[in-house]
Amino acid sequence: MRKLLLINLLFINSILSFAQGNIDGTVIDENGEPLIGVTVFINKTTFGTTTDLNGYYKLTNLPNGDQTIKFSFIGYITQEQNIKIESNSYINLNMTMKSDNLLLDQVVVVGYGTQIKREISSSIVSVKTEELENKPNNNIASSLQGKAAGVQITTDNGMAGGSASIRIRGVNTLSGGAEPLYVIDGVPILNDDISESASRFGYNTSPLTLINPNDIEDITILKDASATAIYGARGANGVILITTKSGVEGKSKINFSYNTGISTETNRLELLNANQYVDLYKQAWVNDGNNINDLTHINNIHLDSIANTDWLDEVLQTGSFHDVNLSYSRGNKKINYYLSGSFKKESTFMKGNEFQRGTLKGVINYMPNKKTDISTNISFGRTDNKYAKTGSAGGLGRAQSEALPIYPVYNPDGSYYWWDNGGLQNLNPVAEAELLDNRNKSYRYLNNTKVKYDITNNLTFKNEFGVDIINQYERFFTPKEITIKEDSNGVSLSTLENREIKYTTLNLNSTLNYIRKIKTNNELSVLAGFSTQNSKEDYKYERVSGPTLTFDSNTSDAQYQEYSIQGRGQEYAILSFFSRLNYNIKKKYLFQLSYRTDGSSRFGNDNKYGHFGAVSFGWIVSDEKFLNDNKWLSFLKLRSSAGSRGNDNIGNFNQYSFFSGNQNYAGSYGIGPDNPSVSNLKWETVITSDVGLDFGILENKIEGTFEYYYTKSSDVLVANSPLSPSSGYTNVTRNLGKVKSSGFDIQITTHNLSKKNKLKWKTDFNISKYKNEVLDLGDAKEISGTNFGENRAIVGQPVGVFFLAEFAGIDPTTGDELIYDLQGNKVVLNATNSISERKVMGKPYPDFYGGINNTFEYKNFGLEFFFVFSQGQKIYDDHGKRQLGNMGFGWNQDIRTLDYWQTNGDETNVPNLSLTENRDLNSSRHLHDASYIRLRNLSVSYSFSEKFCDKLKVEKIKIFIASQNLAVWTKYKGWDPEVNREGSGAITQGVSYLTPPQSKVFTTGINITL
Amino acid sequence: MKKNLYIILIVMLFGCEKYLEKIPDYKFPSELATSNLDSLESITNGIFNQLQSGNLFGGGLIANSELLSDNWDAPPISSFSLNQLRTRDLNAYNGEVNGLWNDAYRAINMSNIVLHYLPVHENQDITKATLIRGECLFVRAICHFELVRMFAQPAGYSANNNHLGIPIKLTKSSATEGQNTIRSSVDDVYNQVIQDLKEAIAFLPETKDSRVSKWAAIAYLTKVYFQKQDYANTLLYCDEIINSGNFSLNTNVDEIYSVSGWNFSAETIFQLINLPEDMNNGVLTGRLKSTSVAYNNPFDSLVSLMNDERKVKLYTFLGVPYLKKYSNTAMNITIIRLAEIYLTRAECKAMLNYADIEVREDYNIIKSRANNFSDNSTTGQLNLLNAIHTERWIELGFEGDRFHDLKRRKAKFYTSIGNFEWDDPKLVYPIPQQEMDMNNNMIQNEGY
Repeated sequence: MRKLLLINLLFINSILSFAQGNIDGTVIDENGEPLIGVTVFINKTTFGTTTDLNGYYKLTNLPNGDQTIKFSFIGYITQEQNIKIESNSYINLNMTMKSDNLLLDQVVVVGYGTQIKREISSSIVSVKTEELENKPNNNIASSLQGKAAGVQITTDNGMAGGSASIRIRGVNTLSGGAEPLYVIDGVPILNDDISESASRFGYNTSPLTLINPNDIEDITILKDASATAIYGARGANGVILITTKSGVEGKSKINFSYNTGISTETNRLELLNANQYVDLYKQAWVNDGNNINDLTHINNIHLDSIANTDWLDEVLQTGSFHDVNLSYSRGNKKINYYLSGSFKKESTFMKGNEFQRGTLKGVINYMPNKKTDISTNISFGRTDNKYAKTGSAGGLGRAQSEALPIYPVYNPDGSYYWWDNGGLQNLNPVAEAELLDNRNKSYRYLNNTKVKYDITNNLTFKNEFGVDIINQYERFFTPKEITIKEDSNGVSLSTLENREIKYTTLNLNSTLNYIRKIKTNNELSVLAGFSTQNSKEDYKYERVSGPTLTFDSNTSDAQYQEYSIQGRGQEYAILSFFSRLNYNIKKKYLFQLSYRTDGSSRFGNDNKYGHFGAVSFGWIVSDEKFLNDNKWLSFLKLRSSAGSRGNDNIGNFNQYSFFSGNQNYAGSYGIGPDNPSVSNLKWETVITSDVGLDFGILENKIEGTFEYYYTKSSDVLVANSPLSPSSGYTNVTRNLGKVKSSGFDIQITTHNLSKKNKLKWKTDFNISKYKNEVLDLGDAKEISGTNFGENRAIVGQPVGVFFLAEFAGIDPTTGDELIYDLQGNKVVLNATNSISERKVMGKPYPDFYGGINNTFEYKNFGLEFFFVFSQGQKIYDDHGKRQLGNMGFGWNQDIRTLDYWQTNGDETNVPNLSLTENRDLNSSRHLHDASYIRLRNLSVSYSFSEKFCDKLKVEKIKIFIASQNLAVWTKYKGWDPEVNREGSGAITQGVSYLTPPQSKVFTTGINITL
Repeated sequence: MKKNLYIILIVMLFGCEKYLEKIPDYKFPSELATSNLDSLESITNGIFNQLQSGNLFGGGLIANSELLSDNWDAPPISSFSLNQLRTRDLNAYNGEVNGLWNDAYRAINMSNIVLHYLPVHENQDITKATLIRGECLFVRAICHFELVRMFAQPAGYSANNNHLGIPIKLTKSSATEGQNTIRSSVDDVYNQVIQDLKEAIAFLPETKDSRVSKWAAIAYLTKVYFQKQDYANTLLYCDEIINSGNFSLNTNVDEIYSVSGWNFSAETIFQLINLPEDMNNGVLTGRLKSTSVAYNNPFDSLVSLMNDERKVKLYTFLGVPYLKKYSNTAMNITIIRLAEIYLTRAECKAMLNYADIEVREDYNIIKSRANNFSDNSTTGQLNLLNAIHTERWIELGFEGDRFHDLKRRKAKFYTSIGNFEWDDPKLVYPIPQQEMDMNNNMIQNEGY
């Protein structure tokens, strides 16, 4: 190309004599930026030129007649236009170049701006809308699973509105938050679960479910220090930038889609049936030295009248959903807009668990002149989530544990059968599913208004004002039938609780961006900005009780009033300055420097401001002369970065010593201390260095990225870092720890077959290897993640290791459970040595994980199958100790309990049966390898032919069927190898306690574009 | 928009520090919370709220001692910690054990905070300050006393009681101060408790219907001396209460169990008040309600000893063992009542070789209230003591007395899990693991 250009230039200079017509104009890119160095020439002639610094070109003395003018530039689609040249005519032709779709030349969203992918010297992954389409997930994060190297996503549960945990390059923290920062259209948004779903229903929900996944244009994940330092004290866990759809120039476009499907749990647990249960109970009874004839009842049920209830059957169902989306967009040079609406209605595999979502979105973009661009983006989401109890909260968790198969669901008179659990509560999972009405109605309003103004050709001012408002109304209704709450006269009372949260975030970003071409091919760009954010949470809680209450009763009615509180929590403010400088030499040598200062209300008075920065270099090796003649290497970039960012997920008010109110006694107002003060509390500092290599081979048929990183975090927050409880305080939050981590991220895309009109086959593969180590914990020897300390942070060990006594088999002669003591001797497990003989037994995070996606296209058919895998992580079944040979605990047992030890010489993993021995003890018997490969998505689609579409006067019709989580291959015997009892905590991962499974979904749908 | 920006720029330049200071409005910075006498009064209210905690008098302290005694042989319990208590197979991670330790020391620290700031603010209202001082000393004493009874071998375990007790806390703690307090001897703990109670008596009100009256402190002194087997001193303080004429036995045996709110029965000496909207006794009533204390075998042996009104009104339903003491969920938690003082005095008299009739007189008062025949025949110290022990078991059953009473008497625990000597290490709580980890001077109890 360049050689040709040179020849052209020579000709222009020499062949002036035939010159007759003239043409000139400006070439700009899609963003309106002038393009420099675009080749412009007249087809089949030798007339040609390149654009100058302002994108301007001029061709003179052109021959008369019909000609074709051609514009070409690396990374952009070549444009042709027919023109008619007349003598001494003068044509003005401006051209907008569109970037071609080669991955390397995509425009990628970065912090406070965009960059061309090939010119990026930091670690960034971008996921486009097509890859997120037609997924049944309510939560965008779930759809990202397996799509990007270095991004580990665990869908925590399959319940409606459920959350997902994201770890970008693992964890560098202990008790600070480990979730990345979410930024939607430039506005940092709330991702924390502010509901009470976890404490009351046993699973986390996420406010991300208030956003319609179909409104998303693309998601960019910022991984290294160079990319995230511009987010300063919030960048350490990585940043997820979400860009939503907006209008584009062109004729109006209507998009309609309808998806529907069914869902079940991924896997069904096998538990004992009634006869098996009674048999084992009898065996235990006899083993305890009792006479079998004395056994007439089990838990007040006569053995002659036992039921045979499959409680899982009773509370599970086949779920279903309907999801309708409609969007409209159109635009011209001055104004464009996008409107969309959606509605989704879902019932999950758990009876009584329902979800509804409606969303509306509108974007208007107005460009009154070339210099000004004003846009506003408003979205509104509403969800109505009916909770169902799971895990330790009851419901499904109870159906798989306390609910014995010998209990009937109903008494003979049709009323619910209640069993006795110590008189604390009436229990029956079916009654819970049918009687309880617990709802979360949430509303989320997101608005981002932008004004962009080009002060000069080089200098642009941009102001973004963002609003994120979540109004959440939770109502918990417990009818009197299911409680044992009574007034002093013994009258049963229903309870209604009303919890309202209004969470408002205001965000302002102002930036100045200066771009200047230096000489022909060097570019300097400087961004400087200021940002402030203020978040506020107002809440209100009321609890009323009365015999006649209903779900819709007015809680402010004084006759019921029992308890009420309102106030403000979670107030949080940040004030920041940031800057980024990019300098590219010949688009070959890339350099980036970024910097941010963050002041935060979360930091202690001794450490109010944090400073963060990063530097990165890139070198596009393939543009060097010595590789010019190379046939196979189409692109090669080396890059490296280093820098620091912070993690401010340290709680809002931890630096202060507070007294809390409402510790009343006999009607007198009382207060009490929460914690001692820590005035030097600060962010966690995370320093990362990164080297990467981006390549394209054989005309980019094979594209990919290799990255290696090393991260060290210091001042790691240890929330609840323990104190001696005899001081009257049990814990305090302090910056105590150091953690290091390192790993590889590899991402490869191969276009195996890509000829037009033939079978096309593309493979995307990514794999990440990751390890970390706790280096220091200050004066805390170790930090336990849960009450019983299964997960720990221990110096010299990976974060969150399982700390358990090592199972040494069942003694073949006695049937007792054995463990190895710390000297390696086999001893019988008991309450004391289950604690004293603990050691590190594995980690909850994988050695490596990733995804492989194959897409095939043949004519109008498309086929996609997508696997995700994860290797080396462990799960601790905290309920296993109660369900594998622990008849005395009173729960139903796992089917594997049938292998219990019976006679001398039995080799088994289940001890002898007993009703009196304390088997409620932790050991590694319940620690399992949770490695898995999951067929995450399988879909077949068919796009109707253009002919057919033309007949119907539509642009495109596509139908598909898909299945999510169709199959999973794992050795783990629980519900599902992806579980997470404790939500998003860094230490407390990989523990299952009656944790609900994920859902297996079959979807079919249609997409129509008009 | 631009205007906004300017406003924020101005705020930035001049008001940065304020902008970045966020304090939740539902919490009080500690400087404020200790800045005046009214605040200290609020903290004192908070201390009583703390006493109602499910780990303290609002539940675990009483219910768990019953679980460990021979009163209640519970079937397997679906709570890890409670089941460990049931099997007397505890470890240092037990939630009930940790909860008691943490909550009791929290109450102690709160008392120390108030006592620390009182001298600064007492001039604001000397009457109020005096009352608060008495109450805080009282709480500090009873918390130390309850802790030493659960976390150390009982008084009488070693000569001079110089065996390991618990940390004594007399000053307020911070993140760095008070983190490595040593375990004092049991004798030192008892002496401190007695000193605090005696001091409290001087500050507490005479009126018996007070939140804490001076009679409550005196009554606690009888408990402390009695547990220490100092019968002469116990007798002295029992006499002071009985002779004051302030208290009399309720007519009905079950009356005390339905007193609720700001009401004091004739017999009540110290109680924690429960308002219907508080329901702070939930753990206690929940655990000791009839349906929790499983019928059939558990307290047959106790019921078989009874032949009076208490059997029908408190311990059985249609002849089957069925505990009714905690049926009224609105009830106040009675911690000391006159019946206990009579029974304690009877035992002291017996131990101090008083005339048989004088001994019988004290426990006959309790018997006759239950419409039982008076005992006019038992003679001799041993027989009398047996009779008193039985009477005490029946009268104070499931009220948190039995466990400590057996230990005081060095008696054997006969339970369905097995028999335990009074000084079996399994009947002493382990020091919580967190205390072991964080306190460099802490020593674990035997067997853990």
